[in-house]
Order: sequence, then structure tokens, then C-alpha cells
Amino acid sequence: MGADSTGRRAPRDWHALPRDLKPADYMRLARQVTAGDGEPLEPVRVACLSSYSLGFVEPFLVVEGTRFGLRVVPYFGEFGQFEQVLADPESRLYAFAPDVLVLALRPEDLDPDAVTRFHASGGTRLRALAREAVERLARCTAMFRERATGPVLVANFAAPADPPMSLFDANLTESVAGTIVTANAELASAIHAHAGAVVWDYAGLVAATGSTRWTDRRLWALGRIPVSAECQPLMARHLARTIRASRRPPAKCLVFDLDNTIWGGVVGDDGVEGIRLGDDYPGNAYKALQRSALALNDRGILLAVASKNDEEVVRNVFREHPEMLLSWEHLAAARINWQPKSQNLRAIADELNIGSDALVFFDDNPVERAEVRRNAPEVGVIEVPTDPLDYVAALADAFQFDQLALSEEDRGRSDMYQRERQRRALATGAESVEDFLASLDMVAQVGQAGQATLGRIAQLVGKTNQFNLTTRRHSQADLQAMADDPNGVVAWLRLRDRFGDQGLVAVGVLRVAERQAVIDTLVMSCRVMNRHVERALVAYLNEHAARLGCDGIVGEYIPTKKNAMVRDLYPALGFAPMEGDGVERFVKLVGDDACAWPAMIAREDAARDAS
Amino acid sequence: MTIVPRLHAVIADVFGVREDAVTDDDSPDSIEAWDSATHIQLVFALEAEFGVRFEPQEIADLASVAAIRRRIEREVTDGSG
Repeated sequence: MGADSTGRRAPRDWHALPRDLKPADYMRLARQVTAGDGEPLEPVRVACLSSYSLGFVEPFLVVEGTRFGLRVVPYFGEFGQFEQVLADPESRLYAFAPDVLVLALRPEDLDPDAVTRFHASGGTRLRALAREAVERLARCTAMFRERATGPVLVANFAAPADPPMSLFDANLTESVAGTIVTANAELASAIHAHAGAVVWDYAGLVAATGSTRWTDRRLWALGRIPVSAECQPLMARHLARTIRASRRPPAKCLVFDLDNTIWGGVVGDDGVEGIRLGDDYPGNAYKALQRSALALNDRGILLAVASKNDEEVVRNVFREHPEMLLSWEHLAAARINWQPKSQNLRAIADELNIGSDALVFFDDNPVERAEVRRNAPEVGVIEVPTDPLDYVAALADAFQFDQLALSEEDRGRSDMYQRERQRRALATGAESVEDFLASLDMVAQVGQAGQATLGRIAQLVGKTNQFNLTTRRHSQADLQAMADDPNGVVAWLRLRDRFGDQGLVAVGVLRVAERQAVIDTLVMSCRVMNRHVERALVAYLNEHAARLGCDGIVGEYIPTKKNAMVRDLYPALGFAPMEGDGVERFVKLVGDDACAWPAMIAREDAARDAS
Repeated sequence: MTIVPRLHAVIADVFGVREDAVTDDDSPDSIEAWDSATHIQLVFALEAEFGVRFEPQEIADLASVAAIRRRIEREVTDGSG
């Protein structure tokens, strides 16, 4: 890292430049980029031919290029010179050996009257001028192509800020604005006839910025500079981004997080009904992001999920939440587990058979983004803003997805990957689930309620909606009484795994009457679903039933709007259905070991009143 | 911060000279990179740094560090008075 002639040091990471810089900063930083200071950048030689003074963009272009990993080495031709330099193999243009050619021609520079006095000719003069400009730009592209292979970026035509008969213009069949729109369509089709030639959407940029703000009359009058000082950085950023896109294929896959990213809230805590997603604020911010992700999918960008969650809970959101625009079938891959995200991203790349440098990661959590930047630096990481309303713009700013052409294959790619994924899921599903559970190194500690645990037990019994067999909302005092009763058991299970302590996650309450033990209450946090934790707790309750001299153990299921996911729990654990009276009852013999403690969970027994 | 150090920093950034070497006497005659094209870059930079707007007819008159300093000092004094 060197210091330039002003004695100030260059930043080390160009991509981390602040968004807002002053002109003096650009001029200082541009010298540092040109001197090769800081992190390595890819050099690209860019020749610009224009009908106006474009050279003022130089320091802005050099500095903005660094945001896209480029060290732009620019060359600016004399304004108004196109064919002369393109036709002459000895010209300074070819001596410069450009990697990229930029052509920026404004029809009004060739004939100001054609715009200003549009109605003098009934518009025919502007139409003829625009057609001539299109033909000329196509000819210039062909001339360059004879001698060079690099991309050609052709600026399209911006509508003037103040058309003649301003209010009237939009009311005319033949208007200035309409003529420009038609000319831009003709330009795109004429340019695309040449290999490696694309439109630089200057018109779109001017419109998005505002054509009034775009121009400073003093700069135009003094130096034929049609772009204000304020807008020079915007033009430079847009041009640099287009230059990058003309040389790099787009990223192939967007990998996004779920909680507080494509919906508001944390589904493991808030439940399917509690997450924010819909047409009102703030749910509409997340719904808009889903719509933008689907728009990427429409043009062949694959979608995948990397989330620290329980897969079944997540699938339930995709299946049941009425406001979800994304469906499970849109996903080319999903890694929903507690592994580090960098590992999951690489696993997704492997599964899709693409490089992990073709992935772009969208996660609201800055800690996760930092983990990926450190451990998988080849992955593109979107700097996600804190306000969800800004998510859509952040995704639009993800230059990694820039694409200047669209093929039939692009449009069909997402479907192809979805079919491939379904095929693989059928082939490999069962084995990998068991492997995954074994890899978690789960340890369950079980015990009976005491002073230290009753508060958390009452909380789980009071709040759990989904994994709750009977939804009996016993108070803490009731639970205390049942724990103290010699014919009752209030049992708890605490789980830890290789990622840390999951806490006290499951509770079972047993009542003994007439040599039968009834599971009055069985609740579990959805965080630990599909990990055989409920099997462990029922096995533990079964032991207590035996200790209390019972012959049978009875499980009850009382359906509610929210607990359908556990409807078949007892049959799955080997319980047989009994005659019911509104409560579904299932029974099994205490000695039956079909419901043994699961092998992939290690066991610890807590002393009573410990924990 | 007072005007002079900020002005000298802008001159240094725009023309690539050492900030501590800039004086009131500097002009296109003493700074090689200061020509008619970079003069417009300087005007961009001064307007952004000091929040001033120069009239087109006065831009050519800002032809030395001293002239620029006086012009900005006048603006700041007028603005606060």
C-alpha cells in the first residue's frame, strides 16, 4: 500500500468504499487506483467515443470501477469523432488497445434543431436524425469488430428534459418522447446484430435519476458537459457496472436466509401464524422481496435456502402460509440445519454442480455475512440494509446477477434444476437424515420438575401450540402440585448438541390411576422437531410408569387448529388406538420396548431438584 | 474547520500536489496539472466542499488560490451575516 503525491494513504479494500464521496475524494482516489494501490483489481482498458465532453467522468469511472473489482484504464477520443478513428488502423484508439469500446452519441448534439424545433418539420427531422444515429452506431460497431474482439457498449438515447411544447408533447401521436422510445428499440435490435455488442442503458439511468437533475446548464455552456457534477458518479457507477456485465457471466444462484429475510420474525419462536408476511406493512416488505427473487428465477437464476431452522417447521410455512409467493418447488436446493452457512453454501454449490463463486448470499444477519466472507470468500455477499423496505433495492443492486442477454436456456434452467432435485431426493433421502441426526452428537438430560425448572416448564406448557398433544394449559401452581403428588410425574428433557445447548425443550406430565399411566401433557419446542427427542421423552415416561406399577401407558390427543402435526404421534410410537369419547386415546403395554430410547441420542439422568 | 486548510486539501486532491506545499500564491502558472479542463474539476470539488455555487461568469476569475480563498470567505461571511 503506497501513499500518493498528496501524502495520503489509499484504502486497502476498494469494494468497501463509502457510497458517498466528494469530487475531491474521487480525484485523489483515482490517482491511487491508477498507481495500483490497495487490493488487486482486474485491469480493463476502456475507450470512449462521444458526441460531447465525456472525459470529465474519468476520475469517477476509475473509482467507481473498483466497486466491481475493476481497475479501469480509460481513453477518451476527441468529441464528435467516431468513424475517423474507428476506420484508421493507425489511430490512437487502436494504439491504446481497448478491451471495451463505449459509444455515446446524443442525436441533439448532431442537430439541436431536430429536438428543439421538432414541430417545424412535423417531427420528420428528428425521426430521420434518430434513424441516422442508429445506422451510424451500428456501422461504428461493425468497424470496431473488424479490428478488435472486445465488447462494444452503445449508449441509448435519453429523452430531453424539456421537450418543445412541454405539456403538449405527451398528447401528440408524434412526440419527441415517442420518437426517442422508438429509436431506442431500433437501436437495440441494430446493435444486437453484432457479436459482443450491447446497449448501455443511459436513457434508463437518466430517467431513474431525473432528467432535470441530470444536467447543469453551466457545465453544458462552459464545457459541453451534459452531466452535472452531482450525477457524474452515478453515470460512472452505471457505466462501470455495465462494463463488468459485458465481460462476466451472471451468478447462477441466489441463496437466501428465511427468518427476517423472506418473512418477518423468527418462525421457530413466532410460529407460522406469527410471522410477518402479507400485503400490509411490514409483511409487504418481505413479500416484495419474494417477488423480486421470483423475477430473478424467471430469467434463469436458481434459488436456494440456507437457514438455521428446523426443516419441518420451514416446510410447513412454505406449505401452509397463504401469503408465501415462493413455493418449495422454486428451490433448487435447501440447507436447513445448524451448520455454519459457509459450509452450507459450498454444499449447495456441490449439489447444483456449480462453482461456489457462482453463488450470491442474502442474509439479514451481519454475523452470518461476516462468517461467509471469512470462510467462503468466493461467494458474493449482498450488504443487506437494516430496513426490510430496502431489501428489494439491495437485490436490484446485486451486480453479480447482471446479464446483458437472455437465452431460451436461461428461461428453462430453473425447471430443469427442480426436476433434478426431486429425482435426487427420492434416491438419497432416508439414509442422509439418519446420518445427519447422528452427526449432531445429541445429548438429552432428563429429570423431574424441581424449583429450578418449574418456571420454564410452565412457560412451555403455557405457550406451545403446535407440538402439544392435549393443549392443557396447567398453571405453574398446578404443575407444582402434580410434581409433588406421588401418583404424578412432571418430567422434562434438556437437549444439547454439537452446536450448543438448546435448553429445556420438552415436558411430559403423567397421571397414574388404576394401574394405568396417562400422558396428560406432552409438549416440545418446534426447534428440535424431527430429531427423535419426543421418542426419548416418551421412553423416559414409560420407565416412570413401570416404576409406579402400571400395566399400560395411555397417550391422549386433543385436536386443535394448530396441533395437526402431532395427530399421528402415538401410532407412530407403537401405541394402539382405544375407544374414544372426544379425546383420542392410544395405549401400549409398559413392558413393550418398541418405544425404546433412540440410539442417536446419548442420555444423562439429572438428580431430582437439580437443574 | 477554517477555510484555508480545507481549500488546500481540495487543491491537493484535484491536482495531486502535496497539501502542505499549497500556498496563497499558487495558480495555473505554478501547478502543472491546473489547466482549463482540470479547472472545471476544481470547480466541481469546491462547490461540493464548501456548499457554494459559482456563477458561470466568475468561474474563469478563480485563477489562483488567493482568488478562490477570497471568494469563499466572502460567501461564508455573507452567509453568516
